Amino acid sequence: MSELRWDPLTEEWVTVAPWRQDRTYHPSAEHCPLCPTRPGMEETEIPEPDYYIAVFENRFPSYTGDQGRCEVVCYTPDHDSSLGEQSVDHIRDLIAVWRDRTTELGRLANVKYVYVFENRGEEIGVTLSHPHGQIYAYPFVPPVLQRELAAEARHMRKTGRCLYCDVIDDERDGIRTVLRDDRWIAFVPPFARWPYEVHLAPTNHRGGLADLDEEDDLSFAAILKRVLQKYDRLFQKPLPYVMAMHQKPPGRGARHHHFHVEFYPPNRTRDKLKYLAGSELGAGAFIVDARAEDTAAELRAL
Amino acid sequence: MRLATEKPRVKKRVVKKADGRYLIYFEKVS
Repeated sequence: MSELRWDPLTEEWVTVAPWRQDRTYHPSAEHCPLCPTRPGMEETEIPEPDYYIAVFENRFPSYTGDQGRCEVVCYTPDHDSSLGEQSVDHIRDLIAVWRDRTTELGRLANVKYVYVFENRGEEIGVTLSHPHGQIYAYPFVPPVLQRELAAEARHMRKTGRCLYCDVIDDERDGIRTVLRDDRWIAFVPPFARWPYEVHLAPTNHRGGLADLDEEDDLSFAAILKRVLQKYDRLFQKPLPYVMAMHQKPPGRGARHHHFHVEFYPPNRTRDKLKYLAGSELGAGAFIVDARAEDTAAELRAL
Repeated sequence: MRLATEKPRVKKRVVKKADGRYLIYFEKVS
């Protein structure tokens, strides 16, 4: 089990999981643990010779047992693919999988938050290149979500409105909009911390994956794919990113929390990365090298 | 809001791995 240590200065939990030092690190394609097990080859995490979508408990979990869960979501058996290369229909099925796992993990006794995410690219620190995401079921509400939920609750008390609905409403002029249909919007928020940060959100108020209807799912899948295609066209190469789904916590927050997905690509140009350094890490103050209006226009044009 | 009558898009099959961890195969409902 991990050790949870409380930082009284930031009032945040730090999770200590030393066994993660030994996790599989950049295996060759023939030794990929997320591929199906090929006849005559060593068994991978997935013993069958093929699969559609597979989810399993992380072998090197940050949370397990009574603390929570860490799951790996294998999007496809195709080692050389990516989330953005999946069909809209396949992404709709992935949404159903994310929803299933969110609901099931949210029912575990000590789980306070279910977080669906993907790290993509070596630049982000990915150690397995096979297309996959992860789900963390935390025994606490993580700090970023905690602050977001608190701000949303304050805004709701003060105005009676959802904070994120108001954020979306501010995008009426379209200047920071990357894509939009009648259900979802993709935009670079005015407060983006990364040059090509994008938020995807349902334009109608929804608290989490479980609140999306079939039309929402279809639009979500289509707009997610289009954003990822734009990302890979941006510098004519697979763009690394963190994809972070901000859902309501299990059993609460549906009224004031607005489900959305945040993307943080580390690139500020094709060959230059933004590193979190003195101001960001030591002081928590992000300095961003680009205006959201300009990067949104770039992405919109792709 | 989702309707309870909606037909699921995927069905799941849970198996136990040799070390006790679970593995879930999600298959497309045809």
